[in-house]
Amino acid sequence: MSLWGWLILGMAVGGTTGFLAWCLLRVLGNQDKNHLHATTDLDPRQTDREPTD
Amino acid sequence: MSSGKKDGWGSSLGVILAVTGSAVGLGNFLRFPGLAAKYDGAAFLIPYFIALLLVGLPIAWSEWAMGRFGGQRGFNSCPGIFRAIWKSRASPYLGVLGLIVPVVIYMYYLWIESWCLGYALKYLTGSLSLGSEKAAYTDHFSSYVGIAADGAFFDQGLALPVLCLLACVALNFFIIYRGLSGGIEKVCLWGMPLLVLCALFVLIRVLTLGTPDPAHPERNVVAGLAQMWDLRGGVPGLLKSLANAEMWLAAAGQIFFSLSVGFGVIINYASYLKKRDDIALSSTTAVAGNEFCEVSLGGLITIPAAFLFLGAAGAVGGTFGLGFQTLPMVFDRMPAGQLFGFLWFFLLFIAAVTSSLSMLQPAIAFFEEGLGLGRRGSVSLLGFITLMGTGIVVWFTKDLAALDAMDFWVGSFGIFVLATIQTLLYGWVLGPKRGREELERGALLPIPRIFDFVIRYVSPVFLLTVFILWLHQSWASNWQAIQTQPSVRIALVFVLAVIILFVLLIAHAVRTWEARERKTA
Repeated sequence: MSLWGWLILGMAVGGTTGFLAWCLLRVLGNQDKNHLHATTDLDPRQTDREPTD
Repeated sequence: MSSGKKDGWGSSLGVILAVTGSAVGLGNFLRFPGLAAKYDGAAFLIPYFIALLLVGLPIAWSEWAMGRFGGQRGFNSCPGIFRAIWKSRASPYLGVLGLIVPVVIYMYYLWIESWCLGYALKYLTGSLSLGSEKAAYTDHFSSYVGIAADGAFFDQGLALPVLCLLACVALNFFIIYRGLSGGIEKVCLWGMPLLVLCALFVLIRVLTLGTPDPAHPERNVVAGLAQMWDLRGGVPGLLKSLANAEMWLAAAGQIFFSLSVGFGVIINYASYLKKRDDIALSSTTAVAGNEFCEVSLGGLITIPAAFLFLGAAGAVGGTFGLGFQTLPMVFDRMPAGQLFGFLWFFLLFIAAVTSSLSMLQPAIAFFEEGLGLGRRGSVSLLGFITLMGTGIVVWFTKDLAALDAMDFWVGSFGIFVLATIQTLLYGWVLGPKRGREELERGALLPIPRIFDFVIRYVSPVFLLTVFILWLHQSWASNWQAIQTQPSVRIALVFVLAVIILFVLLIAHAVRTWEARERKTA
């Protein structure tokens, strides 16, 4: 296989694998911050309310 | 607006894997490598990745955004979501495509899924070792699916092919009955990692084969990789390949069909997300997952494996030829081929199951929110409709005429039309401003500003150009098939009947929604 072939193989396979790994790391790293499936969509009137003593 | 308890996703990874599972299918492991090998290997990747950026990724983002937009207004089905986006009397009826496309594709895809299961079981029991002649594998495939004559599939009686089909019907409806988080999501959470694991085992086997046949030293792993990835004819050869319009069309089509955009599935899945859930990173990750399976796994396994044992002449073919005739011959010659043959067809079976499940959910959602049916009623009604369709496909098996007709008119033509409608709805009705608001709410990834321009202008033009060229290329033969083959006409009359049924059901659903809206106003 020519150098071009290795280069294309490396870029395509490395690129798609690296891209997926990067995305998955971000997804897993944000699991706790992610609003998804936290509990429910909180009512903004409750979440934005100033704490009262 | 639906009533009653809402279905939903259990985790962010779950929804990502469900969408990835919907997209990853036989096309990733068979169609993509076949096309790349046909169109000069590496040259194919240039239009392929351009199409990914101009059509695939933008339409995927827009579908996720429209889905959640509709979901927040109480709709999970395409007719309801279109109605929420566009306040026109026509909009819910345009959404019929978002029901018809997945339901009709399911009717024949289920049968293909059963082939994968049947072949996997045959490898498990060692009954697929048919020698070194390709004709034996072609004959086996032909008799397995009953390609010789209409009704031949059932001539086998209650044999493995029929039992596998029945098992697939039962499996799909058992899983779909369990709902989104209890059924589809659980299957995808386990199934997708298992699929990747099986593929990695097969990949390692292929890459460590060295030179399996000393009589053919030129058939080695590096040469197999070159068959798929090398630039044939260097840079001048690349420029010549890029001038081939047919290759651009094939690449755009592959991206389009591979990502499940214009399928009616993503828009439905995304509608179950909550208001502040991320959709930007989730949609991008689902696209990345599909590309990984297609380029990194499919691209490294299929063509190199076929080349190693059969040479350049054997490493070409369409999805069915490569998958069910060429590769079984390769596994027969491969050390421990029975095990790797099983793993290969089992991973194809998982890929098919996760895709077929996704095709059922859009119609289930419509029956629930439009007709007020419960899960059991929706699953039963859809089961009845799809079984009739699958019955037509598996009865008219001569030259796979009914399957090909449904695949062309619904699985290709219908998808193009639906994707175009969705792109126009997002770009011109929902608009970039509201669309971006939806995309950016809860986003864990910034969406580039240029996306607004691309989805409004570039994607529709690109899509329509590819659509017209594709139609020009394939219209004549498919139109001729309608005129000459009664089985094709029967299959299409059935599809038309299903369309009419769904249009009538949408009319009923619209009246229900309007009545409910008047009551709450």
